[in-house]
Amino acid sequence: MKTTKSFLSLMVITALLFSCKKDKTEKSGDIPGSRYVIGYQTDTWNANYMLALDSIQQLMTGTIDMTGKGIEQGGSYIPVANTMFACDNEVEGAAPFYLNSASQLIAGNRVFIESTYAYGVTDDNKLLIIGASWEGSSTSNELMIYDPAQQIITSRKFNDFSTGNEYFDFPTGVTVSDGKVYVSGFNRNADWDMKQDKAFIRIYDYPSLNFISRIEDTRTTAIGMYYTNTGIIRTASGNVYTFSSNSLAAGYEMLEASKNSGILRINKGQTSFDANYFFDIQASSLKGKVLAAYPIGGEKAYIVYVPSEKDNLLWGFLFDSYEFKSAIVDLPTKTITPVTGLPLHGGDYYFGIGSLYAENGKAYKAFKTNTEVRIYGIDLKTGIATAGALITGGGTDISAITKLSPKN
Amino acid sequence: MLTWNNIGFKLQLIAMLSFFSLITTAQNFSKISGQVKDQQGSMVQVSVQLKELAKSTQTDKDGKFVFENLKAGNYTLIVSYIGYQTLQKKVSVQTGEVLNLTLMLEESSTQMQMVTVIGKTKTQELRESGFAVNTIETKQFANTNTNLSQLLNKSTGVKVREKGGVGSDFEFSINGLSGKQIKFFIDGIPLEILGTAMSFNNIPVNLAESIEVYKGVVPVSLGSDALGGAVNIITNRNTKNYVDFSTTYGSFNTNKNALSTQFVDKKNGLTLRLNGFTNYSDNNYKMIGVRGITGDNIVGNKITIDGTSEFITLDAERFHNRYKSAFGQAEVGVSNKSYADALFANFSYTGFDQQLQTGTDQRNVYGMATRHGHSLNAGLRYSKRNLFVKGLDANTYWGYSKDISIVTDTARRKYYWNNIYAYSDSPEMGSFFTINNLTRPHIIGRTNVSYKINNEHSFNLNYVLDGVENNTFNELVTTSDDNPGLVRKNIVGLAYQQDLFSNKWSNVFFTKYYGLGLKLNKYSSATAVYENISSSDNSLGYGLSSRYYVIKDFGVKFSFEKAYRLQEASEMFGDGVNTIANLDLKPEHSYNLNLGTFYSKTLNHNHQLFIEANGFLRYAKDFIYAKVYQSNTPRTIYENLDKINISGAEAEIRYNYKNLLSATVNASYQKSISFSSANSTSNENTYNKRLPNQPWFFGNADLGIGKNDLIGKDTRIQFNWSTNFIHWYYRTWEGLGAVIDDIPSQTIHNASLTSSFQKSKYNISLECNNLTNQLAYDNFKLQKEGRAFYVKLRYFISKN
Repeated sequence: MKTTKSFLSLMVITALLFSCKKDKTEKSGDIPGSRYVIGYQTDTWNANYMLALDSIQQLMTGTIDMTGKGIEQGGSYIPVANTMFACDNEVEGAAPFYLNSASQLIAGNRVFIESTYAYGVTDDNKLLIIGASWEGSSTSNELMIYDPAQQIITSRKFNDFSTGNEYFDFPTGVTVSDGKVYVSGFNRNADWDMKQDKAFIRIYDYPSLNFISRIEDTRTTAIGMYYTNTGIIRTASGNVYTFSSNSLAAGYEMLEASKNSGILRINKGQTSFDANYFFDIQASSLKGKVLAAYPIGGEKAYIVYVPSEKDNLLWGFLFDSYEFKSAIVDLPTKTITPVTGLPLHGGDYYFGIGSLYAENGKAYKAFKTNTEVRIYGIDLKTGIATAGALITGGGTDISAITKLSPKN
Repeated sequence: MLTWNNIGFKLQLIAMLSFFSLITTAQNFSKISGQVKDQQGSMVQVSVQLKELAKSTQTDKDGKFVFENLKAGNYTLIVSYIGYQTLQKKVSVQTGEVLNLTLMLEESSTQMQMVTVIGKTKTQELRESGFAVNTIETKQFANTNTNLSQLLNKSTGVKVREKGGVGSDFEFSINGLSGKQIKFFIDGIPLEILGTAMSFNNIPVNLAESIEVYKGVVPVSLGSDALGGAVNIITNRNTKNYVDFSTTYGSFNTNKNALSTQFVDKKNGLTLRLNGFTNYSDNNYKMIGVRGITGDNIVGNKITIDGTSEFITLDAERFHNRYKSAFGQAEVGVSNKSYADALFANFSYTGFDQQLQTGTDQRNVYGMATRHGHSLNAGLRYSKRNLFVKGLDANTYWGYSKDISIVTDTARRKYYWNNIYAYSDSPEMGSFFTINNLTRPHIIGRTNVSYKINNEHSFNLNYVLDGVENNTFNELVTTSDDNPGLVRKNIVGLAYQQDLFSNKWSNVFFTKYYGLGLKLNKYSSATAVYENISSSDNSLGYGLSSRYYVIKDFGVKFSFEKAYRLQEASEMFGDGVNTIANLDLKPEHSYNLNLGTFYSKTLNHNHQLFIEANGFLRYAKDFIYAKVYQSNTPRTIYENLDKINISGAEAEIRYNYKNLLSATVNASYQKSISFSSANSTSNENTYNKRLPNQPWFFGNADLGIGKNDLIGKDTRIQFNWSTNFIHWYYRTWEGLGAVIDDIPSQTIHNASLTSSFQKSKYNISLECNNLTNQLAYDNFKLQKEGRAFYVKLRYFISKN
């Protein structure tokens, strides 16, 4: 358990919410000087690199390595407000990277951000960050708003996540829609005994960050996974969808035998789950458990799931389990398009929704198998995946992909 | 060209000449022969002149000399050697007489201040052995603030990298191999027996007489599993009474005191030796251009929740970097007895108390974490020359120590360089609140037996037992380690040395057996429980060293060893805080080759020139490498890398003019490349790349000017200048990333001025390190001290 705790303690999430959807829908080359920026991981702690590529073709052909190129920058990378925000909690600090007028990737002012465990992009292009205590030394968690435009933290507020009996909510993701902050999580104590028997969301007012309520739903289990930020998304309509795995692969040791993995909905502006909506993924044609969801525009999501019979490895999403599959789901209509042409793959560690980038009807994301790391392009209509660039030079994953346009 | 026929012919010629010479001498001429000795025995390559005939010679490896074919008469022998008072002796020899003398030389304290010796010293002799070895005489630095690691850092192929400041962690590298691949000894006994605080960067230079640095190939007498080389401190073993006390004060509130004394009862040989030192420093030197924090939410030095903060770049003093340590040793025994040349019991204590300022690199700032500990040691050593039979020498040492080190990491704080901290979810260094106790009882036994059949053939047999128990526990959770690990090493070495053609060609062949026994408590994924496992491992290494004098002053040397190093307890079991255990670690081994050449020339006893150049190769397998482990704070784990190749070359030129001037220039180049797991994705970015944090080109220049009696009788003024250059090197693996954030090139200048009075009884030294206040960096771009000043006072008196 100690090993698991130590391991988990290093996870830093990356989250991309709706704001970059605007970027995603832009046609490539719409703004002169635009470039694709990626995060390149190595297996050395915090030795990550950020690199700007000139075209989508460079993502889809040849190889990508960091030999003689790339900016060394620790932390998780979050695409937000035309920046690639490097959320580095180390002493170097967090910084927004942007393209200057000459399309060169440079860092803006660094800020001090401590103990981030969940974050997401608001619907007015700010970053909402939740600090929490991994050790459980405090249940009073801090909610912060960082404005990439001003490059400062504009607001912060503490809220007690305690639920009594020494248990407390631990955040797995956050999104903002229509003046409300929705925080997903699971329930645990300081010894890391995790409860996931039901889904819950903590709701706050935005931008005041005042606590409104904590809502629960017993149809499925806890939402999201530790440190991944891939359990809650906002769609174009402003509705919020949540993803519950009830899965060993997601780190939940005590599975709920009577409950299925599935998707819940909170309609725009509401403070309750939609009682009429539950998308039972486990009972669907996928016959699997949804682990992660990535917004791809409109009312659709790209999901990564584990076939139920393959859900055998605790924390498999973080370790080298290559039993996962992908699908595209239309959320309101519960229509499933399985992704084909993609090998069985692993989870994306702790990179969050920013690891998938969509534009012009295609999604781009790196997948790790037991032999290689490779970028794939996935047709969002047909679900057909096409192999792209191979990651070489010791890269262990591509943590983030986005498109930036130059700032004047 | 040298052939066996040539050698045979030469031998015949020599034999014939010797024969005729013998007959002639016996008939008409006289002979003056003798042996030159000091308190410690025979002296090699001492200059002996016959004044009246202007003849001169040097003593051989047994300290012997001879003048033959002399006419009867009165002669004056002049015996001179640097560091010793010149001896003039009038002798009278009759026709056909053979005069055999024993000449004792007395050390000259004044002349010791000279930087480099005149004539071939014992250290020079060692340099010209087949081993790739640097030898450094420390007497000349005794009046300076230098510690042993600074001294060694000037040596070819050697690099000492420090976290910064007095007492800081350091890593020693010889020809690209480093850390625990290098073994440290004090008079042939592993240094670690004296405890954690006894390290090269706090041992005062006064405690040592000379230092030997073996590169890659290590003689069996230092019976240990050294993969990359060994450093052996030779302490003063003469039988004089002396008191050597020094005190140093300098920048960063640094204070060092050292005392070394010996009292010998000449009647019964009873000897009491006391050594000790204390070190203290705030180490509060200035960090340039580091990350601080400012904002409207800082109250006192704490970041509160109201308002916002942002980073600033500033210069700030290190604020949590104090170090203090103390060492005391008493040694009592007898010397020069019929049953023992030396029989001594020793007891020592070391203690240290240290604030920890940074983690692996300076981006991890600590403000509360500390480390302290102590060690108690007892040992017995015995040595006897000509035991039972002539030529059979034996010495043995058995020692026990208990080393306790405690790291306290209980502050939920994250510090920035301007001493501002924020609340942090986890403590500064690790993930858990820790008062980590690390206790290592340690036993070391060493027995060395050598047998010299004659001047040409000798054997050396060495046995070392090294057993250490590893107890680690967090005292906030428990009171003991229920399953301590155990590492036991048995190392046996056997060497055969041959000195052929009047010592013109010397070879050493050796083999070493390495036995490893482990006891550990390991988690079994099959049974899901912790199991006690005992295991053993045996390896056999071998090697040779060879030296050949092509002409009198010019020689070549070659050495080779298949060397093993068995994993250390600290690498396998971790330290409970910064280093994570890896119970699967394997021994590492390396094929080490050295090829060197040297030239030494003395002109008119005034000018000495010494030039040497060496090349080396290291092919290391299962290379034990400290990797940064992924955690919420960077920690270290030791892993085996399949294959590391290191190649390099180094050269040194030394010149001395009388006692007045000395100059040394050296340069070292090395290339350490990983060829590990080419097919593994995780090693792909390291394959065929230089290892990070390994300087590959560096050099030193030293200049010393000194004069005796310039400011009065029995005085000496000495000025030393040294410049140290390091070419830039990689902080991470070569090639990754476009932005160069590597460790920049550095040129550091140091200077000192020393005055000695009353034949060095009183000494005062002023010293300035990093004269130009250059920004100096080390591993992982850790900043080191800027300009610093020290004054050292030393009192030295010795009496027969």
